Amino acid sequence: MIAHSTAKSVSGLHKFVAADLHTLRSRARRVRESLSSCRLCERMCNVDRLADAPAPCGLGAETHVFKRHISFAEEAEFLPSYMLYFAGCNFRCAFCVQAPNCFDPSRGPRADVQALARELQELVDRGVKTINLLGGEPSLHLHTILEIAATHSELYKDVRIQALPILLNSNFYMTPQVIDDLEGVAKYYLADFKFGSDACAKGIAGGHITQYVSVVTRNLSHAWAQCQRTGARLLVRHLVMPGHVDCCTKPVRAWMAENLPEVELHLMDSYVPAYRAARTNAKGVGELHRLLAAKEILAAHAPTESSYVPVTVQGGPQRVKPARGER
Amino acid sequence: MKQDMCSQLKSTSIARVPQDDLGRELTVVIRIAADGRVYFHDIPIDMLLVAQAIAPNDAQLALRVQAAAAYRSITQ
Repeated sequence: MIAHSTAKSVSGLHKFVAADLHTLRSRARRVRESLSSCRLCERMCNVDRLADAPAPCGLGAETHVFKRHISFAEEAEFLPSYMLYFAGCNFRCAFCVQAPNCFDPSRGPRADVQALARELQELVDRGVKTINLLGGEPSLHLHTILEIAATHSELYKDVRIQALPILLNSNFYMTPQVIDDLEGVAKYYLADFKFGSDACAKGIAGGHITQYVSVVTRNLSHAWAQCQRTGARLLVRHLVMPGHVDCCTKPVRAWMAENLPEVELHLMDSYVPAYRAARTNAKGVGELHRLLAAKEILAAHAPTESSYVPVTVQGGPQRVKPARGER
Repeated sequence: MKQDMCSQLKSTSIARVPQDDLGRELTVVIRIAADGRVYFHDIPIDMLLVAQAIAPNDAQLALRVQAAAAYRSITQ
């Protein structure tokens, strides 16, 4: 058995290996061309986003940024974190705190790759630790992410500046190729493992979300394998939802303990109903209209058969660690 | 130590509306539940002290204040 503290350091043993400029340019070009038949997410709709034929997610080829700010609300190790919210999403979570803005693919100014590459470096120079790409769903903008990374690499090739500390804050419902194309680009993967069952995913994130659990778990394993190779880091978050401890939280914890025991799982018990879940006449949202009950928070953090024992800290993301001497 | 960090954060003027450290306005949603739980959605640097005043013993929040103080010491 591997002790959590030892295993946690595995990905940190290797210095992050950034992709070179040629690789970045080549990937960026290929991914942009591939938008003519988009297969970035597991829906694999094959819509021609280059022709502005709107995909089911509503996205064409442009990237818009609907919100940006320096945050101190993320996990402490990532702070300060510059949050860059890309517009457009392939999920329609009933409780989304960024909705409806994040669902509008043209919300906010259009992303200017050159300007962003310079701005992000300036922020890193000012002490920002992570460039937090979220949304919406940032992986739907893979072409833009690669173009930013390539442009940054080109702009600063003559000075010894490290690759941008890019953090992909994602629902992880992408195709595995997306993760492959982010090798050497994403220094951190912050994955939302939202649902413990396909039925809950369909009911809450949208009827079009199929095979949620197998897709997300496949991608988590895939990303973790990459992290072990490249020195990137994977953290998984799970937002505890009212009425979903047994069907979502427990299976998520069990899967993580069984399959990725070395990876940190942050249980977040700060759920607040937003968007459709916050409407007083909301239908079809079950118990998502309310806050978590105290007993649900306790149940979510309760020790499981997999020996995971929570470290309970009020008010922030919860870090779950195995008990000493276990696992 | 805690006092020093707070002083460092307070040394800049508090904005009339919440802003991040680039001066961008940001809407911060604060929800107070019936049982007394307080939820912040988005915590820019100016709001950290507000949150800490509410939850002075919160270890996670203390880490955020510490990160903010370190950041301010670089940027000022």
